[in-house]
Amino acid sequence: MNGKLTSMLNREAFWGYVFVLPIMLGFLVFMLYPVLASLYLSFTDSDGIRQPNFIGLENYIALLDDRIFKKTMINTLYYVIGTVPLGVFIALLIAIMLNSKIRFLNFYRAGIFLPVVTSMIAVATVWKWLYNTQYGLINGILGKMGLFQPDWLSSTTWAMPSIIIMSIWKGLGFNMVIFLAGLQGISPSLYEAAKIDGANAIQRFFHITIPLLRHTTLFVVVLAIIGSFQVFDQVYVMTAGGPANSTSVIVYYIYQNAFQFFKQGYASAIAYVLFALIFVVTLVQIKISQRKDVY
Amino acid sequence: MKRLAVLGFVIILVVSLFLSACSSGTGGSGSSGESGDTSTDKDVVTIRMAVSGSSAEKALRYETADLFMEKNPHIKIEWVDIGNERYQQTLTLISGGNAPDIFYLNDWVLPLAERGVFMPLDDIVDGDPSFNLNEFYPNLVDALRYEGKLYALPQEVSPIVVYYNEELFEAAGLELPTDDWTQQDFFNAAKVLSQPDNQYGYIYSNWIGHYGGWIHRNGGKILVDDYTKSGFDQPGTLEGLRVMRALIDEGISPNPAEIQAMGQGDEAMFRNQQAAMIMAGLWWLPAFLQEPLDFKWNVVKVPKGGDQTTGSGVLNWAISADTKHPEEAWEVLKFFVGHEGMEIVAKYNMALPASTYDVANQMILDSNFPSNVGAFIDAANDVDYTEFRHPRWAELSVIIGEQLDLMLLGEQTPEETQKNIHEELTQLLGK
Repeated sequence: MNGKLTSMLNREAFWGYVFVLPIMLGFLVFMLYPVLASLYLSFTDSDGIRQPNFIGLENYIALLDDRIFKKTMINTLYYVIGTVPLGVFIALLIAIMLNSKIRFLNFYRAGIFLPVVTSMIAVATVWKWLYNTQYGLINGILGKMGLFQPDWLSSTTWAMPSIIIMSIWKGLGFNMVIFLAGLQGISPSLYEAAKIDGANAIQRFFHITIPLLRHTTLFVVVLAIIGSFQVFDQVYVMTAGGPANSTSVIVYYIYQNAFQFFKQGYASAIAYVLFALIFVVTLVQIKISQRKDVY
Repeated sequence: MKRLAVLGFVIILVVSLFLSACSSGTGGSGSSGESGDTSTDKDVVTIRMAVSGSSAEKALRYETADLFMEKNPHIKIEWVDIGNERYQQTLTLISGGNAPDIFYLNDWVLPLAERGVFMPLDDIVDGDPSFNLNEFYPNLVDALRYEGKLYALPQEVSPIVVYYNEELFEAAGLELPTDDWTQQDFFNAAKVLSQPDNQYGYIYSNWIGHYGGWIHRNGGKILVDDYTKSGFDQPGTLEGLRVMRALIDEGISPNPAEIQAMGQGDEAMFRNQQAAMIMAGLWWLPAFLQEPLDFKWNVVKVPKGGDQTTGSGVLNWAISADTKHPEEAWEVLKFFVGHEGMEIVAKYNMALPASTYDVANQMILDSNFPSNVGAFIDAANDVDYTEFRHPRWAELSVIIGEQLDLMLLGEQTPEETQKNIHEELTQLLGK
């Protein structure tokens, strides 16, 4: 009788399960269950209080007619298109510069990585002051140089670019570190061989660095896109969606529906539309990157 | 045998870690909440009551509760702190089946009453000869009824008046405003008090407390037909929109984007003398008492348009429909909104008692802070509670706020704004 128990305890697999139990429980209770529950809720008229009624696709159909949803969708796409290509490109340039042997290398690397480990709320609060139209540092410098001083967060035109610029700066360090890791995985012998064959720096960059960084780039771009679609904190702190909803994004609208409008079913439907969107975009990227995988 | 002990230890560790993660997730009230419900002490009933606000505001509630418990040793009040995200926390508590016995509420009594969260109070009020509903401001109590039934009682009201900087008025050679001043007087003074780039006559904040007042004072309505339909097609509403636009166009107030960009509240701008006038309820009084302003200031009622309608902040209490102790909860609620509770409200001087109870109101007058503090009490009868009247107000206010933003930023005319809001509200309310 005791033998069975002992043999079970001796099995490695059993102990494996015991040790992954905490994280698995956490995952099941705080991730999987809510994900499935919100899928169900998206087909109901749940208000978070009363018993939800199943209403089929009504929430999804109502979305087609929702002007504010469309506006937040467009704002979100604007943000994604504004942050991802530029953010990734600048990070790559910086990574290449910081991959060379220059003085104070670690100082620069740490400096660029610092915003990543800083709380978004703190960063956004500081930038809100930098962007201040009258007293802000940015307009102060632009004014000294006699340049155009935008209204930054104050105007419907400039509010979103302001958030984009800040977010690129904030995320730069993370992308840079990944690129640095990718760059260091490229064997120097390739560059040497190219040099001997007479390739100049620009040719080496486009024919060695870029192709060999393809997987790294994919990883960075996918993460950047997912993160950008889910933008919330900086909007919440810097503009609260204003002026006139010009910076209101999808996640902010989900929050409003779930916690202010008593429409948790509707909010869940929006969340699933967002999920589908991210899923499709990511899938397309992976497909594109899988072509002629020869390196 | 040794292995079994190790296994047992690991399981206990895992389970307790997991449980502690769960309970910290539901907030600090987790463990004590349970002991309240399962209390075996036959004589003492525990009432869980929500609380929120600044530390001074909480001190006020705690003091009221302590006095109550001293007088009613068989009832214990246990606090459920709902923090600053009151909507979110209240909704989470209800969804989690962990609703407090007494709710702390501002403007969302109706949406929760509609969903059956509260116990109707009519029978209990009628059956309690020691309670007098007529002492409360009728406009306030009416706003807490849903389909004819009363669901909450107000403890505090904070009518919006004008705070003004006396020294700036005097330096500009202006007469000090009086409680019967007109909208024209306000504009005349505000224009003189506005200087490009360093001083504004007034700070318009884009929320119902301000725009509701401007619209109503100019004869408009936000909702009509017993608060079921858009009132944005009314000529008075358009007039109100034009007046608000004039505040910006004439350089009296910064627009909402400029306010956002400046990054300071209107209280800070008033304190720095960057704004000669602001509109607010009593909520700035504690700050101005604690850290006095370095100039002379006073308050005055909002300027007269057709009338002197104004907005307000309100604190209401409601009893949960699920409470196991309705009678004890009523005793607590009655004490908070009764004479003793109202005297403590008056003592703290950061809101008015929501009833006409004279002793408490006299305490406010006697505080003489500022000298025209009576303007708040006078204004209480002029308060409009449109934002309490529709269960979907939160949604309506997002639409109105967005369109008003566009108008105040100069991106659309008052006429276009009126038309857009009317169309969207009609579409939403029609559903």
